[in-house]
Amino acid sequence: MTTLSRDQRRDEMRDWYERHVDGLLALEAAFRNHLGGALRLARLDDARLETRTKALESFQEKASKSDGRGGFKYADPTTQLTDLVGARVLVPLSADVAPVAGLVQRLYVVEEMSDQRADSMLDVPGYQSLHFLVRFRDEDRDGLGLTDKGVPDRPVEVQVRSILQHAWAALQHDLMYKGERAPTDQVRRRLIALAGLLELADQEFMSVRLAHGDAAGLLDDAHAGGFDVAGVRAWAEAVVGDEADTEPTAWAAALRPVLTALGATTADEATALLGDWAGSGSELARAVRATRPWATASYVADLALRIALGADYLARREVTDPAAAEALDRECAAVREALEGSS
Amino acid sequence: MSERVCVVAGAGAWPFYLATGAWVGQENRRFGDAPRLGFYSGRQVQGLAPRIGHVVGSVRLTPEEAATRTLSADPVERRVGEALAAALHDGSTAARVSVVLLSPPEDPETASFDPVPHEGDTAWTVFQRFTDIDRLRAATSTDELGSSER
Repeated sequence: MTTLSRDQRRDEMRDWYERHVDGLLALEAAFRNHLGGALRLARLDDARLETRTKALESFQEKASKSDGRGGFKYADPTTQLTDLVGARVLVPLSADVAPVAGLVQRLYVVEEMSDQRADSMLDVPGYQSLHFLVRFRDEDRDGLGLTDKGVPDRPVEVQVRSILQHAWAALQHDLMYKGERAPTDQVRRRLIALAGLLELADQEFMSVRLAHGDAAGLLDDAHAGGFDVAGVRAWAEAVVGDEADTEPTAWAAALRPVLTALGATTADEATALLGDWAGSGSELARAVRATRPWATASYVADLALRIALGADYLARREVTDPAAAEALDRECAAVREALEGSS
Repeated sequence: MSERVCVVAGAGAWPFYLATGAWVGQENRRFGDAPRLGFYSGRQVQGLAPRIGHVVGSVRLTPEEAATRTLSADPVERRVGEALAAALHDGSTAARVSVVLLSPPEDPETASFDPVPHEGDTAWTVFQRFTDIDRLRAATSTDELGSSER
């Protein structure tokens, strides 16, 4: 690759960018309005949305990156670069990432998803974030008039992270990539240690939140039709006949998104999902707790939902893995057997 | 060639396995290259050697982690969560643990044999020892297991 050809590539990219930047800015604005409105409707008020369109210099730099063999890394950067329009949603704690991620998945066509919070990454503290590559749905493009306005049908990169994850990522990026010297191994180790410290801080904030009885946290779950964590907790306790206020809040907090995914946004809707099993919660709890003494009301209620809905339980949670279906069948058979044994 | 078995010590591990089909213990615990676990407790090697399935090397032992995983739709995640919930219920207090999902006691994948008694004055192992499934099936005492500790 010669200097001239790199300059030519940069010039070509400038021309392309100048012809398309208005469309990119329009896409950014449409996406900001759409996702921002959806976050407000979902009452995810503490989620902070930022959007940006890649700047010309940054685009030219990335588009003319070398492949190390005399060519360019991107044969056609105008289609291969997927981060020309990006959005970032910052949430208070890592536990708040899931509701926003669920919203993004429901709203858009997800072309790619990269969960850098996965277990393999958790062994080494560090950059943890959820990335999506999404497009507007066709019906939304039409409904919002984007097609008529000629707003490009390009992907938008969406990143969802907690404030602490973002703080660490931003600080380490400056140290790792913007300094004049490459960081030493010792600096890298200290950065990883800091990430661990922030992860512990995140967990401690979550524990404080739970201790305060606010498992839904700063992101109140009122968007679930008032069926918040306290409501789910009371519902699960009633289903299995447990005393009020005995259910660990953490379990109710975990059950709430399950109920939402199953389509229940009120206690009545959740009870309706149970069908004939709605009156068998106590019996089921006794049978299950004979072998699983740790079984909480939320766990038993979830089991009851699995038995009551069968394959539909997985379909509603958008699970298509045959192994999950087999496991559910086995679980249901075991529970029925336990119930027969206890009667 | 007979399959290697890593026999782990601990009075609680055996009943925990029978109840949950899992082993929960020290974070990032290694079992060498053994495809099976065995259990030493009550001065005998217990009579089942389940196959090691899914391993989570390091996971937080908290009610939040247990609840979130247990209520997952993914069957493996559910089993990991159930193991965490059972460990918490049993009083485990470690901040992070390793979870090993094993073939259940009644599963055909689980090798069975007569329990192998230990007659020595000191424990046969206080951590873990390796042997193989043929020796476990043939042995009448731990003296015949010819195993190594590591």
